[in-house]
Amino acid sequence: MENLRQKLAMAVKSIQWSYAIFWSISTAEPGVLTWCDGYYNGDIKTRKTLQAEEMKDDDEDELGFQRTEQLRQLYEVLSVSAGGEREPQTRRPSAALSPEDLTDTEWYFLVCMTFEFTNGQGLPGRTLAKNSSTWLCNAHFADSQVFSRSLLAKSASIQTVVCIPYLEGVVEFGITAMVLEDEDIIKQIKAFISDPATQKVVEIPLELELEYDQTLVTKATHNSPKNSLNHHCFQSQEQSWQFVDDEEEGEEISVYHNNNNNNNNNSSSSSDCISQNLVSGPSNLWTEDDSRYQSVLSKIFNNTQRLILGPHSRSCSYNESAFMSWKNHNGMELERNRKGSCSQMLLKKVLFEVPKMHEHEDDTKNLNHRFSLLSSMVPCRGKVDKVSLLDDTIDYLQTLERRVKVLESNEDRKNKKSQQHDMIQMQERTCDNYYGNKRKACCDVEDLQVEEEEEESCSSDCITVSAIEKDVTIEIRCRWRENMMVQVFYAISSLNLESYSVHSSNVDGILTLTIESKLKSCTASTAKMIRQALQRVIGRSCSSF
Amino acid sequence: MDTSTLESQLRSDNFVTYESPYTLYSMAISSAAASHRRIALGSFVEEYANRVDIVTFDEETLSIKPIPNLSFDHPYPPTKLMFHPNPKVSGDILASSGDFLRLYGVRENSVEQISVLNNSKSSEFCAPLTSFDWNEVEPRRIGTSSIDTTCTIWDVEKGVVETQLIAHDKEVHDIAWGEAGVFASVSADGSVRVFDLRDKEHSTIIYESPQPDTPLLRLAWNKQDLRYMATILMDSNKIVILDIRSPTMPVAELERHRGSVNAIAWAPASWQHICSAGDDSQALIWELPTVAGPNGIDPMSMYTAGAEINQLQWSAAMPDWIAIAFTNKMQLLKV
Repeated sequence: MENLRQKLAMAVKSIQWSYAIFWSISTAEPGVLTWCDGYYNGDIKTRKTLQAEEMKDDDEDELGFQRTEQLRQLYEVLSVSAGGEREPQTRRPSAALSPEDLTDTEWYFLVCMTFEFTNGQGLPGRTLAKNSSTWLCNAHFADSQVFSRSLLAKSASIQTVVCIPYLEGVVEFGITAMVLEDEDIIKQIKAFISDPATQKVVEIPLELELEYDQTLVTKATHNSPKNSLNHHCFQSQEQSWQFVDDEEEGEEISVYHNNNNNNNNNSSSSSDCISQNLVSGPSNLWTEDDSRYQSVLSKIFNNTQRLILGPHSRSCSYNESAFMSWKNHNGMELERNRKGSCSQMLLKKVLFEVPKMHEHEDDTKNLNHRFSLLSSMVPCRGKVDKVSLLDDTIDYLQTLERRVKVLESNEDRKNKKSQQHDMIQMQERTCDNYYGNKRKACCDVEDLQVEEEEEESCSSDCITVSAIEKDVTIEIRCRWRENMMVQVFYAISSLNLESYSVHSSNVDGILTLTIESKLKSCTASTAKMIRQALQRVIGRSCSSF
Repeated sequence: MDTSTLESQLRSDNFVTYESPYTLYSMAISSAAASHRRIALGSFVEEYANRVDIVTFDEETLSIKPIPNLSFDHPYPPTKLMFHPNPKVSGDILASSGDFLRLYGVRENSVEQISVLNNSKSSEFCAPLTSFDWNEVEPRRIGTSSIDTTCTIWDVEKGVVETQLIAHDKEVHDIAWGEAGVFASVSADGSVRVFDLRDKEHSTIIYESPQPDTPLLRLAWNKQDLRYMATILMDSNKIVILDIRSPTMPVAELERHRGSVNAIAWAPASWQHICSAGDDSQALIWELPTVAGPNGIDPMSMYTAGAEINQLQWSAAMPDWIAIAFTNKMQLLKV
């Protein structure tokens, strides 16, 4: 075996390709090609040396062989942990390498160890069948029926593969570059490997290896128990691999062992599977290879992953799960991507709208704060709702404006006229003056009142009530009728108002009345109430027109 | 295999349903050691008056019962609820975010508000909080995310702000602790940023959404393997898996949901499993493969609920059960 590997090594090094594999006809199953030996000559990511067998660092050859051997060991370790049939004690000691140390090409080489080919199947099988060398360019794009490992090759960037019949099997060489068919290379390879001295010796695969293959094939024909690993490429394996310590591994493997019993009961031997494979015909080759590839990978990967999962994943009876396998229900195509307005509705409301509710509330709070400030400035008359507060504020402002006017004109008069001026005359004039100026403001209030009080029918009527503490000023402008004054005063006195100054005028049937009065008690009426009461009086007059 | 899984789906011993009077959004599973696990459920009513109900789950009888004594009013819908990660025997604490960060002491027969934390010194109003995360390693720390672009780190034992950082250019939508002093946040500005409290001046952008300014809505940091975190985008069926060692380039994008994704949660007991739930009414459990394939990654298993799933919790206190919320229902699903 060493001899064979050395020859493969020399050949692959001389042509500077990435790897060499010798596929030999299995002794257990005639006609089936299995991995016998190989030599890896490609890129290496991390080099590890076992402390036990220290090497001279400069010995390139030795290191090359060591790498290939380590890859083989890693494969065996992984296969052991994958093989449910295997008793834990037969496990090999841990490999020098762990999966995260491997490049994509090394992975390709390692996974190749799991492959086997019947006569005429795949690249090695066909090479054996027609007994002549096969040169495959663009292996990574090849049809899977031509080259069943094309997907793997793609991930490892293997582009060119050559198979040459050799002894009781086929040698295969591959490289990560595009190399056009070249007879010289084939000759060169043949020259290296066809040493007549070794021709008689054909290495029989280790018993162990055969068992691995059986194991893997047995599982390959069943759907992978977990469908999670689909079409793998080896792009990021360096990030995610984790190994667990031996104790944990032991536990979990026994669990896995149990799980696998089902599978094994269903299929008796690997030869069954292969015959199925053949019967199913070439059209199914891909799916077979595909599922096989998947299951090989999921065996290798999942076992290590499963260990970390702990008892909470599927190890405690998968059947009890409320979740069902995704794959099984993937067939039914539902409508795709219901995006749009109703997408993430609640989540968006929580993130985008609920905060605005708070913000809005903030505004309201701020507003309320200002209202309460306002109400502390404007004389308050019991009711605290915002509309009456605004009404009061308007009234108050009007009163203030009027007072300002009065004071201003008082000042003027003081300056311009004599001190003995008749007070009453002055006040009458002031009122006239005021009326002329305030008409516009009165109309605004009137508009408000029309909106507010439906019963108000006479649009020319106007009642303004303003109150500063207990001083209430009432202005009425309406059509004159008999008894109107009496009714107004009656209403005023029934509202606990004591009038002390009254000015009235009647021009062209329009009565203008200004009453200054005092509230008798504090329990009494708000400006609004007074206005409404007077409205009723005047309203009566309106209806009587 | 098909029939057996179907049967198990029909059997009722692998999931339990609780119906609330309200639409549910926020949800939290208590870490307190108790015979019956407590679960807090926050209502989603679009007005001031909302409720937080606390129910108990009996794993033996597979029943969920409300505890009326422990229900309380909550102003506005809580944007997130979370129990104290390591509660004392004397009493559990429930935190909620919304107009403020609030802490409630949950006793045997009563709930009382412990504190209302406001990070604004100038105003009695706090910028609304979109989410928060309670630091498991350092439980006195809670980080809140706000629409005012900041994240606030609270010392909840002292009831004071430890620090407040302008984290993003736009509203911050979620926050997640990695270590005692390291947290990450996602924002409407489309970025995932990592902050280290030892160096508050700098943050690291781990990811930016491909279409600029596609808001990122939620973030989950893998507590089993801190290299990984997951985020979801607005109006997207993708779950983006990030590796903090390879910023800007996601290690995987999980795209098998048939509607937008609403919630994600890493498995509490495994570093490579994540559950997601979306508008397609499905909860999917994914196993992150060691290698990503050309056709994308398929989920491992799925559960179909009766409506859009809005919330998802997978708690270390109850690793065998995944809690989901849709419409007014909360369901516990056996994993």
